[in-house]
Amino acid sequence: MTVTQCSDPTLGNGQWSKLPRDIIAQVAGKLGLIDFLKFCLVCKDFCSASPTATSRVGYSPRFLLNGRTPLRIESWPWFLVYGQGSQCRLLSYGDNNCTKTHTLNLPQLQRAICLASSQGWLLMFREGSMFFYCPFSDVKVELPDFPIAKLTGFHTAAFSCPIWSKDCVIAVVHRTHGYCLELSLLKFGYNWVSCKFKHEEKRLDGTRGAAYHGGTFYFLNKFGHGVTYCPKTNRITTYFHGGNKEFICSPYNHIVSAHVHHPPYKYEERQGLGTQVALGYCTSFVTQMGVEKLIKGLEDASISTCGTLMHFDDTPILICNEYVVSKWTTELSTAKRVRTVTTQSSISDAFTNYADYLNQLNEKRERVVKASRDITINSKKVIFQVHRISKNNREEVLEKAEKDLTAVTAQYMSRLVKELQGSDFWKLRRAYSPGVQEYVEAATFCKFCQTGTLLHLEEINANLLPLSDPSIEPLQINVLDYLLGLADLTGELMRLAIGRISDGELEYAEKICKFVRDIYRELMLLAPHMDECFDMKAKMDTMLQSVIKIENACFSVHVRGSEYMPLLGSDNSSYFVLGMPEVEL
Amino acid sequence: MASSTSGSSSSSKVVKIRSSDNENFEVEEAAAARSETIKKLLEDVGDDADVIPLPNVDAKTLVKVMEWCKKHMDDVDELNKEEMKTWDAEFVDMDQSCLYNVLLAANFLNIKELLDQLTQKVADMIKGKSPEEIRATFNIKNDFTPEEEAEIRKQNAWAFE
Repeated sequence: MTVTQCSDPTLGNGQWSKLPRDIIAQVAGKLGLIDFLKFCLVCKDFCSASPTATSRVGYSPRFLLNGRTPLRIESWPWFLVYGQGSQCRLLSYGDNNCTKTHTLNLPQLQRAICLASSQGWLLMFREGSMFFYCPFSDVKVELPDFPIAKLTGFHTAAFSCPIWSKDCVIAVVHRTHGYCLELSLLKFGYNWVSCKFKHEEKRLDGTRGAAYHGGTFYFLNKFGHGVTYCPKTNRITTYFHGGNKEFICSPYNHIVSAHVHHPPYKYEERQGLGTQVALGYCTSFVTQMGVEKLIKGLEDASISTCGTLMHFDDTPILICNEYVVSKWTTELSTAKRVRTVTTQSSISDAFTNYADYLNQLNEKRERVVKASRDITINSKKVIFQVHRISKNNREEVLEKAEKDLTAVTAQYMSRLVKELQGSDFWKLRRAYSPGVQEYVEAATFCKFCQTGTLLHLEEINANLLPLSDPSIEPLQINVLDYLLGLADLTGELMRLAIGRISDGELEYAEKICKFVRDIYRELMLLAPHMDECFDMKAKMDTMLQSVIKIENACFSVHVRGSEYMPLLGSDNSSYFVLGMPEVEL
Repeated sequence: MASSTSGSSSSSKVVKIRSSDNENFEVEEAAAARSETIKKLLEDVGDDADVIPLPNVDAKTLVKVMEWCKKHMDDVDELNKEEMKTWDAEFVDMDQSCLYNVLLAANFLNIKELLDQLTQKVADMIKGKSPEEIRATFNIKNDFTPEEEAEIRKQNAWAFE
């Protein structure tokens, strides 16, 4: 007998589509995912019968080496790669061992973490809210919010069956600390309940994978040890290769009515209860499959995977969660052969932002440093210009110096002000502080030479105001930089004083000496209060040297000058120098 | 074919079943009990069972189903497994109307294994075909509006590449 086109008159139009729904669902369940999706497109009856179907990839034995024994697997999980925007990639295993990549648009997966997957459904977590999501029908089922808003990465979850069933139980396990495990349960029609339990068993350390098999949840670590939870009997049992210990959990209803988030958990230990269920486990499935190599662009990406349950021959195998590197999450689902590689994108997005910010800040800092250097150089030029002062050219030198200073303000300070754009004044202070100090030094130096008075911080800042955009907070030189600049000023004044003395302007030098002494005196009172500023201490020492030098010079000229009888006809001021061997020029 | 089964095994009990078109069959109880539905009925009525009416299954289909049941009457040992597979493969290789009726009968009679094989057969027929081809094969009318179809196609466009 061969399959022919329908020739029987009784099999008229749509006869096949009128099959009982459970038969259609059974057929659908035997199709591979892609065939299944095409099947849904045939007619409405097929389509409506299929949500209850769990699609299975057809029988096509392949071999997977797991180190020693080749295991025949009937079908392989698929990988769903997400985490790069809404574009997801689905890696499927077709016949003849070929892999195929499909592109899907799944915006629902953005910033979500996949906790578990089974039968084509993904249990997703996004910022405290939990939902089921089927990537193929785009159906999303919201669940009650998870009691914990952020997952630590130590959570493993499994669910018994998708949400439409009354048997649906979702179990999330995470280790709180030490040997304490917390089990959170969500049962159809209830809210989340949690219970904690302790164990004194080193072998149970860590949970790497979770699965639901034969009415029991398994939470196993990388050695295949762990705990099981049976929703029917409500028992938590330790699970080892070899022997079982059983913890008796308080009845589920009791937990519900207690409605305490962390009820103190009591357990009894009983030996010999419960039966060992054979459940294999596989810890490096994704690595063995070389999935990251199969999908372009993943070779250097880090992948973390969400494991699932698979059937190798007839043995159920729990594929553990894996953490191949750091940034990605992989998702495995047996029933629909879905494996998902996912980014914990909320974290990676955040870190991308941080990286951007840091890069920008660094670039900005560099630019600020550059601007600061320019200010330093040009301020120094102004100071040199002031030093060129002499008895005869006083007016023009100072005029030029002031012009230069205005140029520095307009050209270089304005650049700094723009760069800082009303922010990061303190964060980048160390970058621009030297330039600002030099600028303060030049400005005050100029001012002193012109008027013999001290230029106030308010006056400098008033000069800077017009440079910045009025809408933003303007750059104002802070007191600290002003004082440090002032400390530098004394050094320049010392040079000026010596120059003036050698030029014969003794009165001017004495005026400088008084001014510097005043500055030193005032700053000496202030310096102890600036104890966190190391610069200031060093500068105070230098300042003291400057004051001493000026005083010595003035003193020497005064004393020696009175002893020295000026030569006849020689009123040249330079003779003073001859009498001052200790003065450094 | 079905009536001949009574003669072949003298040792086991025989049950009488009647198809929808009023044909009577005698099958061994062990074979008939492959059907959960019949098994339940037998348990209910006990030994003094008269003819069991099966109003949903016609004679032609019932012959087919009982053929399968007879073959699968005993548990298969390892040696015969391969042979049985071949037999099963040949068995499900039937024309569409027959397949359809047997499928419904297997569902009604609640024979899980047979149902499994038949749905697998249908699934195999669907595999690798486009929706249009599936419709042509099974003579199914497309009752989607073009908009609905486009919407579904768009949703899973990747699968139809």
